[in-house]
Amino acid sequence: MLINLDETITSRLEREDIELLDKFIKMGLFANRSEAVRVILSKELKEIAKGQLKSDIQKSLELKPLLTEQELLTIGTRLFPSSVALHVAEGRER
Amino acid sequence: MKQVYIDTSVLLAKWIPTDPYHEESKKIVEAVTTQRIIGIFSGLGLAEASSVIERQQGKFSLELAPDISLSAEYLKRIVMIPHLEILDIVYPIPTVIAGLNFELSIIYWQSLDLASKFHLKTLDNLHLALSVLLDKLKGRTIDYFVTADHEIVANAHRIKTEYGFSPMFPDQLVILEGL
Repeated sequence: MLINLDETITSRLEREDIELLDKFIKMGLFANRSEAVRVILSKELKEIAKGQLKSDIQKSLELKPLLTEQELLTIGTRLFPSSVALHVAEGRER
Repeated sequence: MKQVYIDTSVLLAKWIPTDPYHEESKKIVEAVTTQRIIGIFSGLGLAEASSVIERQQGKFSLELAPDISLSAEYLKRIVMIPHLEILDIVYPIPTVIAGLNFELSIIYWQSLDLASKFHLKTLDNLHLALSVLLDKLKGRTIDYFVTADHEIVANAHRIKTEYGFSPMFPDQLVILEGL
């Protein structure tokens, strides 16, 4: 995969973080410090972004199902007296 | 094995006994589960399913425990279908419109092309755009686009000619693939 590397930034790191980085490089997890910082920072930024999106529905989604298939069928009958497609199409008109 | 893009209402119909395609939906999901066909759904489909469930729930009074999100419960069941693949393509691409440069997700770019050709609704275009891009960018050639949307199926011949996959109703897929 091609990666666009747009800009170089300089950052001061704590000694223990540098030691850990170098240890991971020695272990072969990263090719060099630059790659290590890039990969770790990118991963952490995505986690922070995901945290910003956290909402009640996302918290609910992380849980195991609380309703059985049968319960969903029963509820489904009440929610959609007829074709689901009609209601989906209605949403698509918006 | 045939690759089938499953539209939102077709998959949801599995849990809606009143839907005219409920039986077909069960057969299609069973075929995905037993790997007779490759079933493909999308992040867009999840968002759409969530929206339609929430809107319908707002019309009825259901006695549910306060900690239960109904749309989340349906979404969980969808993603728990064994072997169902949930795919998305969201690459931003550099775009120039009227001499202005900006980035646009490739799925929107593709849907502009579809909109100009088929005059379908926005989400119809986005589902079709994803099917086209799965082939172009991920080598996932879609054989069938199964939908209950009459407007999409009305354009089946032209879509097949232009993009290589056939939109069809669930009952047609069931007969065609002997599900």
